[in-house]
Amino acid sequence: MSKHENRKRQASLQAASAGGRTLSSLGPRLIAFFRSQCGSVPDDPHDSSPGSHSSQSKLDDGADSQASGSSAGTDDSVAVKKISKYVGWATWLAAILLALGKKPVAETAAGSEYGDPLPESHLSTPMQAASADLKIEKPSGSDSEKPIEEVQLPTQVKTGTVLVALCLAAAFAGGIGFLVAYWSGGGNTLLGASLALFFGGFGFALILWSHLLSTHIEVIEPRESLAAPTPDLSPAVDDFCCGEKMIRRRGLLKWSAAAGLGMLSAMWISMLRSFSLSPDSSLYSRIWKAGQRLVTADGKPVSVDALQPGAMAIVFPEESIGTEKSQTVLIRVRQDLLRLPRDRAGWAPMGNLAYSRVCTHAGCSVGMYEATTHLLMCPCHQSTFNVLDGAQPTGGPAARPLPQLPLYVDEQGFLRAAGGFTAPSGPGFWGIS
Amino acid sequence: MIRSIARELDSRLRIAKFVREALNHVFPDHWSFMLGEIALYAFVILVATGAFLALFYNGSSAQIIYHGSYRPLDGVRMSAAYRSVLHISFDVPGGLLMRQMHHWAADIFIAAIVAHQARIFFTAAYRKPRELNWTVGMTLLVLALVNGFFGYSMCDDLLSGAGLRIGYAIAMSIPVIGPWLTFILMGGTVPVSATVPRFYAMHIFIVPAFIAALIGVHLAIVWRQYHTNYPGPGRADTSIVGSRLWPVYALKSLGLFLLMLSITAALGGLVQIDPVWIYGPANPTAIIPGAQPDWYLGWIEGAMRLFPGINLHFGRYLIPEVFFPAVLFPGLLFVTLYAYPFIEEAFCLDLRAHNVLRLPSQHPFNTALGCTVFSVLIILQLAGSDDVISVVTGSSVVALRSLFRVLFFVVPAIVSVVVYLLCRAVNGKRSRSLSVAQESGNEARVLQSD
Amino acid sequence: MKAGSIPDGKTIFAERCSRCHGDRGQGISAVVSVAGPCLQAEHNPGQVVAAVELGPKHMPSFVRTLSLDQIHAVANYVTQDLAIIPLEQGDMAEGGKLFRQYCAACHRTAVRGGALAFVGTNAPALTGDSAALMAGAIRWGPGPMPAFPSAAISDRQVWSIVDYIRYVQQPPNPGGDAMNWLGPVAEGFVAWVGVLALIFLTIWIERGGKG
Repeated sequence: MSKHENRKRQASLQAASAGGRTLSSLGPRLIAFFRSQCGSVPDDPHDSSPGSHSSQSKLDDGADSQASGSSAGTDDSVAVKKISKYVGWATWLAAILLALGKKPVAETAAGSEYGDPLPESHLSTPMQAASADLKIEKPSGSDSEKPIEEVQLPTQVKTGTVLVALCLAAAFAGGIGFLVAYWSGGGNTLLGASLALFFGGFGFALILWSHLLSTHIEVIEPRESLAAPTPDLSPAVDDFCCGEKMIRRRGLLKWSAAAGLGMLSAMWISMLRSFSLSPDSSLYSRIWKAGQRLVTADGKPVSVDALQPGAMAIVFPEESIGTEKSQTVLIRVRQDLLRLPRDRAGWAPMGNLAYSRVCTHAGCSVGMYEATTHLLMCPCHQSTFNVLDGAQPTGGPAARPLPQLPLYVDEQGFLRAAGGFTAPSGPGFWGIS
Repeated sequence: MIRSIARELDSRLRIAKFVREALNHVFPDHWSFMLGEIALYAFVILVATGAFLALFYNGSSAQIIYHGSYRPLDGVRMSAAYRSVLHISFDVPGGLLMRQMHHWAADIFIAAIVAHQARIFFTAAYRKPRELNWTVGMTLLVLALVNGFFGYSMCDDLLSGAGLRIGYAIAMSIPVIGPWLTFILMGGTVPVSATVPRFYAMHIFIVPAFIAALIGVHLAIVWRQYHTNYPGPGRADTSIVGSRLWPVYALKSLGLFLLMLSITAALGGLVQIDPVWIYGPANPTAIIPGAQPDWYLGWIEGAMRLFPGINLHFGRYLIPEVFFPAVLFPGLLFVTLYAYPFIEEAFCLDLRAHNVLRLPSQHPFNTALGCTVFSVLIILQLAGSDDVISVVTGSSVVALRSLFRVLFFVVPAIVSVVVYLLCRAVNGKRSRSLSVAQESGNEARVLQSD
Repeated sequence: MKAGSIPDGKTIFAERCSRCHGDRGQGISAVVSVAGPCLQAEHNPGQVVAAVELGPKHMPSFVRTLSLDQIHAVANYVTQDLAIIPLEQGDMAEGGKLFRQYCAACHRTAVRGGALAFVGTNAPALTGDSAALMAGAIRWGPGPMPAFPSAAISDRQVWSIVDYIRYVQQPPNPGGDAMNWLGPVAEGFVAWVGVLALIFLTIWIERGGKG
């Protein structure tokens, strides 16, 4: 190598090392700068952490990194080492988890990553083996009078580990399945099944851990007796009463508190009005007005012979199509079958009957009609109404008949209402007559 | 590493004593004590999946025209809330899974509460000092039922719309205050635009806040009082036998949570629940059969189907027929359940603190009463499903209704007698002599007169 | 029949088919039973030929009693003269809306059949029915089913409903198994199965650790 090249190499090496030194001192410099912002802190005599004293004394030297760089660098490098240790552990953990996910069934407990290696030659009894393997710390104190320990045999640990590994493998398979299914736009079934496998695998693994890979200790402890009052009870009550007596005019305070609560309740209850308008006369409305035409949901008027006997249609008043309370069922039956009460004799021209479609039991639409038995039936609670005699309830829980709409035929042959429903439509309530 | 973390925390919070007691807290080992945990973990799943859903759900009842990815509803008028549920189900990746897991977890939550409560009832764990916890637990049950109703009504589909109208009729049937109460709760005559947004706020915030707080109180009381023990060797009112929280109990509990998640995810992925797209949007002029509420309200539905059309007239005023099966009957049932520990204490004059459970056979009256109530609820549940049974078996709905009306009286009577006698037989003469010794004259007279 | 002459579909229909299907193909039914469905919406001769040859459901097969020419003549007669319900393009979404107003109460949301009051009057499942027969049934009202004339449901709306029913005969189930669309009752049953499974798992969790 030529001298020129050598010098160049040396220069570049020096530059690199200088740059490296600068870079490596950058970290400690930054840390020292931020530490100097903390302000002076008096020494805490209870502070047992060893690092604080040395770092306090370095505060004022923070700027001069070169001189104090080495000592500050020691503390900071300790901190950096700690952080890098944590990062390293996290990386190891991630690596182990990934390895677990890929690896098939582990062989035995000894020497596997599921526990510390078990030098079997040092163990003489199964008890020692169990406690050595699992590092059980006996519960301290004299609480356990008669502990019952269940001892794990090495074979149980082996079986447990195998089963647990299977469960974990299934769980990770499920997890990967979920990710694949989700990102490829998979269906609900695949997503749910893989998620179930993921959780189920871990769940079974944990339970198996508790069954086969842990020591059970049953303890007996005395309970606190609730029979006798605690020694603090009487002093507490005395404190309360004593404290009470420090306030004068107690009677006035109690009465004004009671009155205040009463007033507050009145305010709260009043504010319930904000939740809605009060029930008003619209609850009692008969919906239809005399002379209104019957129309279908499309707005087409219905003529008197639009339906044949045995036919059915859903009709509304011409001005309020589609509203819940105004829905009416129009049915045509053979005129000789009608058995309406005398005062309703003219209400069914040519056998056309109209009733409110809102069940008087609980308000569902009475949507089912049996044409051969002339029964309107509500699908919610199976109330049946006979259309021939004014929709009287013939079975089921309804008590009141469906309100009937009187009909007449106008000059053009269309059906019109001769008045409102015989009763407000829908289920009964307190003020309805 | 644990030590340094512990040291850091303790130097700030001074919690070492509490943590040590917690790690060593003794929990008895029996599978029936874990039923409450199933409910607790179901609630956790509900909150987690519910948070996901809440970020997509739109609780508005504004009417819009749908033009989304589900073709059979294209151009149909619906509420924005319903459209957001369709969006979650069809467009959000994983949305349908979250929605179904949420709904399954709700059904499982209440089923677990019922199972847990049954265990408490039949082992008399509600006795002193645990009456307070019984009251808290009953309130949790009621809140869970209410929140479930709000939850599936939020979808604003045809099925829940029918349920909403039925709920409206039930609330209206309450004498004197019915219409006012209904309007305050639902905002007007259903269907009205205020209802869905109101249920939205109640379901995701107000009621879950109460449930979470009460769960905290419930667990704190169990922690403070220590769990009960079944009778057995070494078990007395003055001691507790079990295993410590750390590590085995914690491991088992965590394993149960994961298994719960697994089952909920399996159900959410493999079994369809509440397919709102098939039901269609809520429409007051449309209706479908099989319009039962979710299973935990099926008993009220059955009561409503079986109760005959009897209403009471007072001049101008009316108590409609819906009031008795849907308001009076559940009301009486819940009031009795709430008061039951105190009723039993008054009857048996037993004010001692109990930390050992009572086996069901040791108190035949209690066990028979519980079984009777359960049989009534099961008969009502089946009666509420009579149109489904009719479709599946081909029988007539009218015949089924008459059958269930008869069974409603016959089956509980048989069950009460059979269970009572069974308990007595299991105990032999021991129960009679023990009862006379321990309980009051009233109770002894009742037993001796059998 | 004279050899070489074109068979008269009208005569054959009157002789062989009108007894079950009615003289105008309007369908014949009694209180609970149905003899032959309404054919007034059948516009596809191939369907008629297939039905006459195969004899679906309660219909006998005429493949041995009628020649192919006769069968084709009947098919033409049915589709040209009897089919008075005009064929129109339906809108499935509107059909769904009307279905839920008029039909779902009896036939159920996914047309798996519903429960009516008495034995024998249960609304049938429509899972296997063709579009033409369903359209005819809407106009005709077989058995206990009411009829829906054009004043109630227009022709276009009839075909919209039929389109929707055809879709919902095999609806997609993105959520998993649909349990035959039995609704919350089946869901509650499955939820309890899940809880019982959890209870058994709990028993295993606690018992499995010991011995």
